[in-house]
Amino acid sequence: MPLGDTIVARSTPYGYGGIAVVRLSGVNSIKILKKISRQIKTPVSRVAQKTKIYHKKNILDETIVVCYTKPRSFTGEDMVEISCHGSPFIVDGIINECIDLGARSAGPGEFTRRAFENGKIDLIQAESIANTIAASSKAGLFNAISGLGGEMSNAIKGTASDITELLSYCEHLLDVSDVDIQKDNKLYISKKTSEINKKVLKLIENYDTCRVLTYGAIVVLAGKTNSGKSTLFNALVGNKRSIVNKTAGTTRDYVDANISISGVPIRLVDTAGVRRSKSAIESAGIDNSIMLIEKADVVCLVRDVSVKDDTYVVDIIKLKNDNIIYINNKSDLIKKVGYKKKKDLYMYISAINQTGISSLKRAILQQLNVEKIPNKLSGVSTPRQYECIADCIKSLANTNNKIKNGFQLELICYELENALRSVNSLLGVETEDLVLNNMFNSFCVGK
Amino acid sequence: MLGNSLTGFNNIDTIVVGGGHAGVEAALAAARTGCKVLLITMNKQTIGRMSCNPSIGGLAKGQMVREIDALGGAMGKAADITGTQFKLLNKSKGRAVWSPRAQVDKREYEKHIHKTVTSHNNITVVEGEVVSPIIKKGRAAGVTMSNQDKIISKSVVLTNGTFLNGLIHIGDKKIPAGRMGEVRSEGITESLSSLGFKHGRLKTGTPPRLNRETINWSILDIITGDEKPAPFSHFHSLFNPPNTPSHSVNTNERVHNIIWENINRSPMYSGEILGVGPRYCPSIEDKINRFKERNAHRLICEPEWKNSDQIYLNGFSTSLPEKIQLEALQKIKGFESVSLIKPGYAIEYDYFFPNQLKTTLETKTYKNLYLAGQINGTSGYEEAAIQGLIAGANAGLFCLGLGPITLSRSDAYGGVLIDDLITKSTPEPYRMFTSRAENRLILRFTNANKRLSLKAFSSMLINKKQHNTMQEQTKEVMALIKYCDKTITTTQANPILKKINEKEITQKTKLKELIKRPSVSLEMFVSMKTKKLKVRQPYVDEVVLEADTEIKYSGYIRRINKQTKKILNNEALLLNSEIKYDNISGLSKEAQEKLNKSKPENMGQAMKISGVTISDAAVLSVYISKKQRVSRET
Ligand SMILES: Nc1nc2c(ncn2[C@@H]2O[C@H](COP(=O)(O)OP(=O)(O)O)[C@@H](O)[C@H]2O)c(=O)[nH]1
Ligand SMILES: [Mg+2]
Repeated sequence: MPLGDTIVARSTPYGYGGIAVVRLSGVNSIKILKKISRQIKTPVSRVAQKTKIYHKKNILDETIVVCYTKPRSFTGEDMVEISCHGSPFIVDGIINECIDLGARSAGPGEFTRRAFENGKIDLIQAESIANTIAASSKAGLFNAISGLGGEMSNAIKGTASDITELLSYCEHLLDVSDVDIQKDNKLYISKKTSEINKKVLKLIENYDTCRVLTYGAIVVLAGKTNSGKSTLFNALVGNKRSIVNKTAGTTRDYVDANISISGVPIRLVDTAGVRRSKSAIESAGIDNSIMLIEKADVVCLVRDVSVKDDTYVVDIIKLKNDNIIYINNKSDLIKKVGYKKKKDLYMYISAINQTGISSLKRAILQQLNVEKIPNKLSGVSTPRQYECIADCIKSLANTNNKIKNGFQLELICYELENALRSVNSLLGVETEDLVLNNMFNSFCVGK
Repeated sequence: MLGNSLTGFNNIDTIVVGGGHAGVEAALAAARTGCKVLLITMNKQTIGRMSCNPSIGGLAKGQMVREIDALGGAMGKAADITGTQFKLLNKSKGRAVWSPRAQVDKREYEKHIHKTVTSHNNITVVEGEVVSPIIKKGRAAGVTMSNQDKIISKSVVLTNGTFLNGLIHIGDKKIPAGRMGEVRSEGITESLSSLGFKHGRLKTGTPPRLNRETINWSILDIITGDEKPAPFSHFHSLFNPPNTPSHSVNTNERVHNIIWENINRSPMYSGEILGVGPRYCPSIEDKINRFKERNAHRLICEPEWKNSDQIYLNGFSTSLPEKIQLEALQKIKGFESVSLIKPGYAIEYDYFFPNQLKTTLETKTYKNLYLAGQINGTSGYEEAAIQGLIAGANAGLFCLGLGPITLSRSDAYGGVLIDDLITKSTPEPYRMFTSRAENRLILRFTNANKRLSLKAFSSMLINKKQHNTMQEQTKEVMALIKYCDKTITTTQANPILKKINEKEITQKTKLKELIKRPSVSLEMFVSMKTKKLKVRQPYVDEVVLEADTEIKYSGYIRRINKQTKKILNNEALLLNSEIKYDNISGLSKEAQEKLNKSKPENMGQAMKISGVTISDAAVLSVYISKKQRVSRET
């Protein structure tokens, strides 16, 4: 990906809207603006100016533009933001005009990537921008914003400098020949290591909550066909999305909907159901179900109280996921079939009568660990961040092991170095390009 | 024609200027490749002189001496022959950082080196002062002497950097070097500057020399060397050095107080010069500042040669005023009436920014001109020697039309040293530390043979026999490791484990698994007598240690190798010296400037320049691959 050339993209959602914003960034941004506007001869940085924009002799739109000269811009390069009217024809027209004048259509996250690469933001802040856009809940948004403000970055920078300091101490000890390691050195190193460990653990303490609030959770309805999953799905969604049928195996693929339980964003998935089947199409659906069950944050295992159990189904689901809510559906039929309520894991609902639904909702929140959302939340929220911290914790555990086990100082240093590398890669200080590409590609274009 | 050539010096391949530790190894290395070498020194008597501490090796340096030896150098052997006490340092800190060190007799050492150099068939030694290299068409073509004589050669190695324009500081007293008995080289700074080389100034310190008679020896602690000494050289058939005891004293709080109160009067005090960081300058001022909680530091009294009157006080480098040094020292038990033969002092001198050199130590601007030693800003004999060896070898290999020899960071401490020199501009005298080597777990003193013998052999720095000797040792290590794949029964293992209070095993176990425990060693389970190793003492111990380490550290070694491979892949990306970095958009201004200035040879070097960020590196690698694509298409 060539860097430093001029890129252009719309940075507001696609479609009709009141106002759309087209962004340009790179060396030629201002030159291109001058050409397409004709009116602006000497643009003033950070001042909104009204101008017409032309395609050949025709006026495309009447717009407001703001120029930002480098380095005082979001990307750290020369930038132009054009606020035009929201019709796709106008927006595409302006973008095409820019492309004709040498700009290139921006890839996903390229603006943010440039901001990162020009040192305007660190990696955590870059991710926060992605999260702000993606955040599906208010609390998640708060977390994203606190990341953007650098609160998380600061906490992590603090940890990085703690580790650096301890590492320096150890390195120094290695390189002083006339001093043997003494008890006070050992105590110091061991104490510092556990202090750092405690701080690092704090960063992921709220990981599940943050992640769920930012990205939403996946809740999958699973169980034997005909147990009432689709009925329950409709009850939770609030309207009829899934087909309900008496013949087992009606839902051949999955159906999903975005719902919100007490502000927590949830992607609810209704599956084909698990059962022993001979039909090829249906078993394809069942394979899909199993994949979804694996991916789920919570699985609602639905059972029909009015029929005999098939432990095969329960076993398969248990094998694929540990976060299961056990549900006995059709509780309205209990009396009729002479079923005895047992005191076990199962909760009783009637999907058709919509009884027990609110306690099910509560159980889902509980299983997701978000029943009480702290009003100020901060911590890591993306899998990449989590992985870095987990690596760091692993290295710290190894450090501790080497402290307790023979106290091999050179190995202690090696582990601490790895811990430091993990934390630094969290901030993008030494992250390899691959990781970077990966991360920025998940952005939407124009950010 | 280049004026009148000095008679008798025709057909010289390589000229080495300077007879210090760098010059000696340079001349010998070039001579080993088969070149005709002329070594020019101001004073024949000072060839190989140890101008400072009477010891060779030590932390990280010990590993480096082993590397020098594996590359066929002279330092290790000379130290082994003239050593008076041998000791492995850092035993309490993990085996990869164990470093051999020897106390040596300075006079004997010098004599031995002198003989080695002057008796080499390919080396001619001549006294004289070189004022400038001769440059013709961008290449070094010989040297000009102070009497305007010119000597023609195919390549030139400058190692005459011992305290260039030296200025001594003792407290606020300043003395031009020379009067303190140090050699002072002049003139070369000016001539190299006029060729366009940039230079700076550095400071380093030495400890005081005490008068033997004034020390109360009877109450000092006695230190003896290792009972089974480890040699530096790989090529002995017999190694039985003396174990002369040395003596140590401890500083105390009264000493520290005096130093602390006067610390501002020390021009060396690192707090001013270096700032903080893990790498430090080991002056007593610095130690007291850094380890405030410690109320005593150990100092070692080292006689400079047999029956020497002059005692080198190791561990007490200082540049405090003479009066303060004496006052502080006299507070030490045993030193109550000590007197100084020479006070400790700091010395300031010129050096040439080593980022003007390539990995071969050839200058970037002039072909066949090499710089090595203190002239590049390093301190220490060992640091000088390894540079001299590489520079001299390359100067020689060039004359023969052969490819150069270079060391990488994962090959050797020497590789770390050269890479650091040419890529980082550290504004302090460069001294080797284990902490500078990110791969130190694999750069052990026991595997220098494995790391370097093939390289040395293919660059003609060692002969077939030496190569075989080192290979043999490597093979023995591998055989021992293989042997440990066999399983051991509970009845065989448990009595031994019980003896050392280790958890016993409950079922047959691979010997390797047992050895991986920190307090279990290979020796406990394998009798070397029954194993019949092909190597003999003094190398049996290190073969066993090396095998034991390879097994214990196997997990780490695997991880490091994987990391290194990944880095090397990227690092190997070559950067043409013609690249105009200011034309590459996307690079930060700072990176553009620094890259233009230092013209790195590859990505690895570029990444190490401070101010070149990963995003700069990303931009660069994209630029390079794009250019390669274009040139392939055209
Ligand atoms: N009596 C009773 N019938 C139910 C209940 N929930 C679902 N059903 C019926 O069970 C049948 C299968 O339901 P469906 O939701 O399609 O099951 P699925 O195959 O698991 O998706 C339909 O006839 C539903 O009307 C319930 O709570 N009580
Ligand atoms: Mg269904």
